[in-house]
Formats: sequence, structure tokens, C-alpha cells
Amino acid sequence: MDLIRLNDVSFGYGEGGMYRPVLSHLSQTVEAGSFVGIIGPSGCGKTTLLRLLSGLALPGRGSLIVGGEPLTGPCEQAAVVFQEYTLFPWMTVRRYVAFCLRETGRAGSRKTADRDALDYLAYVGMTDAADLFPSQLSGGMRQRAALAGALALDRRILLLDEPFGALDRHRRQELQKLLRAIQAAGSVRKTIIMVTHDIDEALALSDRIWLMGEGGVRADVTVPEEPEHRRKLREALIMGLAASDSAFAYAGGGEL
Amino acid sequence: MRPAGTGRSVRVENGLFLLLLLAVICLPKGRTGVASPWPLSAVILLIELSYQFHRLRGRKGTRDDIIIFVWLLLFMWEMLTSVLGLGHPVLIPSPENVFAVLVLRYRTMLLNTLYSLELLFLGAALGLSLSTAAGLICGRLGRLRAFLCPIANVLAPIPAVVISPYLVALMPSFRSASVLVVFLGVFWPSFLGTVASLDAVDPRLLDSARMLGLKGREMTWKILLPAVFPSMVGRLKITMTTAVLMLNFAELMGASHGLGYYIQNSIAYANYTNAVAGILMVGLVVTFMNKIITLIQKKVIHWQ
Repeated sequence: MDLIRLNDVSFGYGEGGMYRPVLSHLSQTVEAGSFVGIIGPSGCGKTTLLRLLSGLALPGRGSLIVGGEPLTGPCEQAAVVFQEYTLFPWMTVRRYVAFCLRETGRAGSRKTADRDALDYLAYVGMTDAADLFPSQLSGGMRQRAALAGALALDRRILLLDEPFGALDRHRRQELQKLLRAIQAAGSVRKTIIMVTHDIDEALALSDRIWLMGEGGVRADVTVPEEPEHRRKLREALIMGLAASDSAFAYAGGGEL
Repeated sequence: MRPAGTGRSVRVENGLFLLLLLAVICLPKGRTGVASPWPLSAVILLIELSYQFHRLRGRKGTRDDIIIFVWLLLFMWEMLTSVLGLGHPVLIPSPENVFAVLVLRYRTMLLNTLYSLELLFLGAALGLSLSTAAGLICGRLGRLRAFLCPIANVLAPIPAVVISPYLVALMPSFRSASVLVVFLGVFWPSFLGTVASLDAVDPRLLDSARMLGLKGREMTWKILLPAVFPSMVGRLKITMTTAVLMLNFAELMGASHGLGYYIQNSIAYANYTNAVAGILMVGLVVTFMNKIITLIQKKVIHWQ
């Protein structure tokens, strides 16, 4: 079942003679419970697409349907994790998660929010750092705390904008594992859409990959199970940020 | 806790302290009319005790350099005026005389200081609170911002001291005129500073807040205000120093109390000893205010 649908979405910046189109006539769907990786060169509109999916920006043309409802503002079914600035610098990690719970009505009182916040922090392995401020945390710890906040919101959709971009390989792998666990946690499998520069990360985590180029999604590829096909897809993706149709046919599973 | 300060700088400081004390208490005075050395000696001892207290607590910083500079300055002042008798005794008073005024006439100094501080805090508190509120509202209402900011850019550079004689004539009392001068000196720069701070807030922070459903007044109170608070407090030292400047100038226009009035009145009667004492007092007040602001900064913005 499609949870998210983009119908002929166009978006650009500026007005009149200064208008610069970023996304043109984009039509895509996202199945509930799937993991979509978005990759593409810098400036192709990945973050813009994520902002549209979250409702932080609205399309100039076309429509976005989430859970059967057109999106007209910040999506109440989605949680967002950025590379930076997801946490509020003046709040300890515990206070931030408790704040998320209280502001979204998921905790009745401060005491409940505080207690529940600790539970979410324990899930991501941040109990010892609960009373630290973001400035006192490493990059990996900040992202764990941000994921705890996203988890606390208990929303169906998780949108991630290069959340592990600033981390070393070891930390990235740890957090990728955590992300998989978060997707599977709860009674309903979360739908995750993640922007990443890392092709290997996209291949490791995603069910589908959207390869973006100028104007929008140039290729929508299902990640194959077979190692040989995955290898070919990887090659195609590496070549294929300007990928030709034949490259994706070669990858054996692309949809154009 | 290990005392702070390198061995050499502590020895230099100790040497200068003893030298200064000796010069003040023991050296014969080459000038007549030099007051008793005991108020000055008491102040020197007090400063030394304070320095030693901080050093023994292991506080790091540039205190060694500052105290050495202060001792050198006092020593030169003492030697050139009281001991060697150089300079006109009325125009360049001896340190013993100046500190005698500060210590022995402390009631007068205190009353004038408190009078000034009252007007200062009234004007500054009004200026800061209204400018912050206006800045935050402009952050939300683009139309109001488009209206107010160009006006602020024109009015902010006009020094309040330039129009203070007019304000003194316009307002019903000198007191209200002084408060208004301080208010104007604080309001416009603080307003523009708040608007600039809002512009500097990373939009992703606001996006995070919007995803939690925050908007309008809640966004302002729970997100924007804490986000700009550090830069507001950071500007506070400059704002308050400017406010003191404005107030002192306003007091020259017809006050009957206050530090600015005290200095002006002393100069008018060629009592430069009192005038220098008043100037030192202003310096002390500003230093003390900055200390308080630093403490507030550390307590309230400990998350930075």
C-alpha cells in the first residue's frame, strides 16, 4: 500500500525572472514500511525533496499525499532528523526528548515525560549522557539523541537528511544498525526515507533507491537481494549519477 | 587546589605590592597637602587580599598581568605626585587624596552611585525588554520588520546624548529625561541586535521545532528566545557600558545627584581630587556590572 504519493510535483526557488526550478513534474510513491534511499550529486534537490515530504516546504505545483491526506503543512505523521541542529542547544538530551513528548501530547506531565525520555534514551544507548548538552556530545551521540527524539514521536514516517554524514565509518555502521532496529521496533514497521551521499550506505539499508539528478528522480531502483546484482547496481550508481538508461538495464532491476 | 600564576609573575607582583606600600607609607612626601596614607593603604591591602584569594583558589586567567599593571600604575602615580611633587597638586591630585575621598566620603559616593544606578537600571531594563519584545515580534511579522528596521537604521546611529538637552527641556522632570536618554541609547541598537540574532538562528532549528507542531507564540517563547538569548547576553556588556555613558552625559544637563553630576560639579569648582575619585567610581561601577553580567552568562548559558 502506498503511504506517500507525489503527484506531478514541481518546486523551485525565487520568483519571476529569478525563478530556479529544482524539481519538475515529479511523480513517485513510497510503500508503507519500506526504506527508500535518496542519492544524487550536490545541489540536485535531495534536501528540497525531503523538505517537501516533511511538509516544511509546499510544492509550487502538484500535490503530496501522505496517508491518504494531502499535505498542507508540517507532516504530523513524520519525524525528521537532520545532520545538525535537530537537537536544541539549550536543552539536555533528556529534556529534549521529554520536550518532544510533551509538545506532541505524548506525555501527560513533566514527570511522565522525563521518565519516558529516559526509556527512549536507553533504547539508543544514551542513558549515561542523558543530562549532557549537545555541545558536550560527540557527533555520533548527538545523532543517537536525535533518533531517540524521533522514536519518542512514534510517527509512521522517519525522514533523515544525511544523518550520518559527519561520522566516521565505525560510528556510521553502529547507527545504521540502530536505524534498522528502529524501523522494526513497534507494532507497525516504519517507513524511512533517507538522503545520503554514501552509495554503500544506501545499498545496505534501502529497499529502494531514488537516484536524483537535475529536475528530480532520474531512476527508481529496487535493491536486489543477489550479491552479483547488487554489485552491478553499485557500479551503475557510481557511474550513474549521470547514469544512462543502459547502465540501469545492466544493473538488472532498475525502473526508469 | 593548586594556586594559579607562574612563579615569576607572582614574585614580580609581590615585589611591586611591597614597593608600593613602602612608597605610600614610608617615603617622605615631596608635596604639601598630601592626605593620610591609610585609606590608600587600606585599598591596596584589600586589592592584594582579593588577588591572593583568587590565586589560592587556583583561578586561572590574566589576573597576574592585571594586578602587576595596577600596581605599576599606582606606583608611578604615587612617585610622580606625592613623592617627587611633580605636576600641579590641584590639577593632578595625589592618590592619597583621591582614595581618601573614596574611602572617607563613602556615603556621598554611595548615594550618588545609587542614584545613577537606579536611573540606569530603569532606562536599561525598559530599553532591553521592549527592544527584545519588538525584535522577537518583528522576527515573526515580516511586514512589521519591513516597517521598523529601516526606521531603526536611521534612528540608531543618532547618539542619545546629542538630543539629551532637548529631552531634558521636553520631559516633565530631569529624572524622566535621564531614563529616556538611557532608554534611547539602549533600545535601537538592542532592537537591531535582536533582529540580527534572529536572522542568525539556523533554519534547521526552526524546522525541528515546526515538526513538533510549534508555531506562533509558542515558537517565539520556547525556541526563538532561548536561541537568541546567548547573543543578547553577550551584547549586554556593551549595552550597559553605553547606557552608563548616556546617563553620565545626561546628568551633566541638570541633575542634582548622580555620578555624572558629582564629577561635573567637582570640575566646576576646580575640585579635581573629587572629580578623579568620581571617575574612578564610574570605572568601578562598570567593572562591577560587567562582572555580574559574566556571572549571569555563566549561570544561565552554561550549555554553550
